[in-house]
Amino acid sequence: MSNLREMFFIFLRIGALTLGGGYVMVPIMEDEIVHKRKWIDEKEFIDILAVAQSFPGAIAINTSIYVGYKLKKHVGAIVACLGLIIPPLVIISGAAALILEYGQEPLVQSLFKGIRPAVAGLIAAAVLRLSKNLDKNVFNGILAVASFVIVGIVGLHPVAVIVSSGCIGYAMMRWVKGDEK
Amino acid sequence: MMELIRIFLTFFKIGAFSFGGGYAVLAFIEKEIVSGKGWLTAEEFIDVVAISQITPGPIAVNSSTYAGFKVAGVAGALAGTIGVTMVSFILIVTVASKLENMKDTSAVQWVFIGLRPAVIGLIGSAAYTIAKSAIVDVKGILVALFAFLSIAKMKWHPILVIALSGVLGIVLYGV
Repeated sequence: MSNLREMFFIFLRIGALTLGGGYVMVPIMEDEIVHKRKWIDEKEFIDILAVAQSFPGAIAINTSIYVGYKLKKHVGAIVACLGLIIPPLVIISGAAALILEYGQEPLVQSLFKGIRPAVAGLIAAAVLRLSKNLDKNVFNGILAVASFVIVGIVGLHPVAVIVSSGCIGYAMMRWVKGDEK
Repeated sequence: MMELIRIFLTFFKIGAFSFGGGYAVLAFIEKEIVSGKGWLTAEEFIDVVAISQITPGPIAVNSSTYAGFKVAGVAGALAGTIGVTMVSFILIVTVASKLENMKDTSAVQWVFIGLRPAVIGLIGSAAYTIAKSAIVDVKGILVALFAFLSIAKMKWHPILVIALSGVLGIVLYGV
């Protein structure tokens, strides 16, 4: 059986040791919760993931809250989520303090001057990788390009794109399904 | 106190609209706290993205912690982090307690048919915005190309690429 203390330390460890964001954390959670401790079965975990991905918020956070709730209701959700966010909270606060203190040093300036363009390259690589997972059709192409132009070039708020693309997807599927009947 | 409430509400809003994973939320965060409220400079924002790649934690959480800390110290870091997590908490707990089979509702999946390609455009615009302030000379173009190719083609780990780019920066720009 799960207990709160053990649960807290599992999520604390995942929060502290998993580099690279949500998609790296989720398989490790699955290993700890489903395979090693058998607190939740495989099928349930997949359902949890589907919900975690469909709602706003970081997928790792959403998954931890759901797993915590399944095991120990509200207290479990709080404990799991706290475990996960305490390590980044401490580490980033520390990093912020260091950068605000030493950011003007020439060595640090040069370091970040090298890193900044790399971040642009890194994110461009993510665009390429994600595009490969998407079907190549006119609908996807138009939405992706329009969203880039509207936010990147025109400068509208991303919320405009998030809300309208969601509505477009819904309306299109309704229209397609309506035709089938 | 007002400052803390503003930090909390700003990141609450970011949390509420962060669909599509870490990179997709960058354009939103940039709009809110860089070009909107001016809490971070463009360079600082890019540095936070870089730090997020080499430290644990989701990018939305890391940037809320950083911006909160810069504006109002430890209390600000807490306000930002709690704000960005709060929406997740309310929604997921509600779903977990009420609807057992949320994934069966096709409406949610239909919405994602539109969101998925749009998110790629959003990430593209984040890359574009970041490139505009990150790349200041020819050396920068070379480092950006190096990072892009080493990840897209060579499949190197982002942590390695960022570490190497930092070394490149020291070599190219001196101490």
